[in-house]
Amino acid sequence: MKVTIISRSHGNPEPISQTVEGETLHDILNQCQYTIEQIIILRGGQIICEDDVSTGDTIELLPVASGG
Amino acid sequence: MVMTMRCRCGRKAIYHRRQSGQYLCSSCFSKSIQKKFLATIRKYSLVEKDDKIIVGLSGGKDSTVLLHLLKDLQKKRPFTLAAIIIDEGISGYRSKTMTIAVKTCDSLHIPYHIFSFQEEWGFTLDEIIPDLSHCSYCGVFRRYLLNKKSRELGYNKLAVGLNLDDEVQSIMMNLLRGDLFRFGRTGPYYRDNPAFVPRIKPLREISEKEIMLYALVNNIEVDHSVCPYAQEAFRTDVREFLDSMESKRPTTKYSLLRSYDRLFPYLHRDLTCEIGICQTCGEPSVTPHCKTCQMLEEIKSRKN
Repeated sequence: MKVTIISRSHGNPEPISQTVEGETLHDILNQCQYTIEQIIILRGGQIICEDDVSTGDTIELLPVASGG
Repeated sequence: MVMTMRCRCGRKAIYHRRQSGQYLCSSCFSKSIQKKFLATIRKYSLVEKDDKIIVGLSGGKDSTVLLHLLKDLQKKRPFTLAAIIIDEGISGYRSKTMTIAVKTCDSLHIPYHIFSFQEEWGFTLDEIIPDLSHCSYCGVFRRYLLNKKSRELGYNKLAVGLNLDDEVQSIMMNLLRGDLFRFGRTGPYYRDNPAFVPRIKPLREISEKEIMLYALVNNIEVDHSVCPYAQEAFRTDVREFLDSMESKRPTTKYSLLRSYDRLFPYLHRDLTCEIGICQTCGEPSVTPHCKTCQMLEEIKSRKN
């Protein structure tokens, strides 16, 4: 599976885009230093299930952690 | 080709609840959160008729979602609802979250009260040159103000937005620190002590991710920024560990909370100690001088 990941690092409003390849979505998230519990996935601005991500997709990762 | 996952109602799923295997659409997901919230309230009788409840509101997702859920509950049960906002003085962070907190209260027609470290003690969190992490000072000072001001304002319950992740992190942290006194106080309820406004935690069985998702699907405006001091916290290490476990075994956090809750009556009975009065400020304390006064003294001595 190969997907383009858009993410925003904390304190940096500019999105970072990178293409990541892995056997599963969990592998891909792992490479981005996330677990599935730590993010919400959006595709085209819509929230989607992790099972709906397919190869070639461009997805945005929204980190769940905020606050103190 | 990937098949779109469907909720049992037939609509497109937006969430896979890995703990139960359910796929949920936004509507069924929202209902499930409201149900969980009500179940926790009922299980521990957290909200009773004519209660005067004040919510510790930061403007972040947890406390803002909590305020919305309590406001909805208020339509069904008569109780007083207000918010308390603490300004610790964290530049570039707190002013943003406070703006959202005030906006939320205004839009829900909920009265609010703002207190600050600056007004209370004459310094901001940023101005403290810490011996410990900033989070240690912030936590102690914030809890002190929340309790003192809620009591002075006449509220009988302080609702806080602690979620499942916060709770299991606290349980693990107290165990790893060997702090059995605090370990015995992370439960769903507390033995009454007139000096402490009882804290209620209606979101303690809902994960951080589900709270965030609830805010998103219900268009609840929340602040997503991270406190600049958050990386200092021991909590971050514990969070990483628990998230990694949860990713491999999706019921880890619930199981930990369930186990703790079963132990809680024994811990609460045997590990808590008598609460006295701080000789300096008169607030409740287990030592002759409360932690807040000890920290204030330490800050003062470092300044001189």
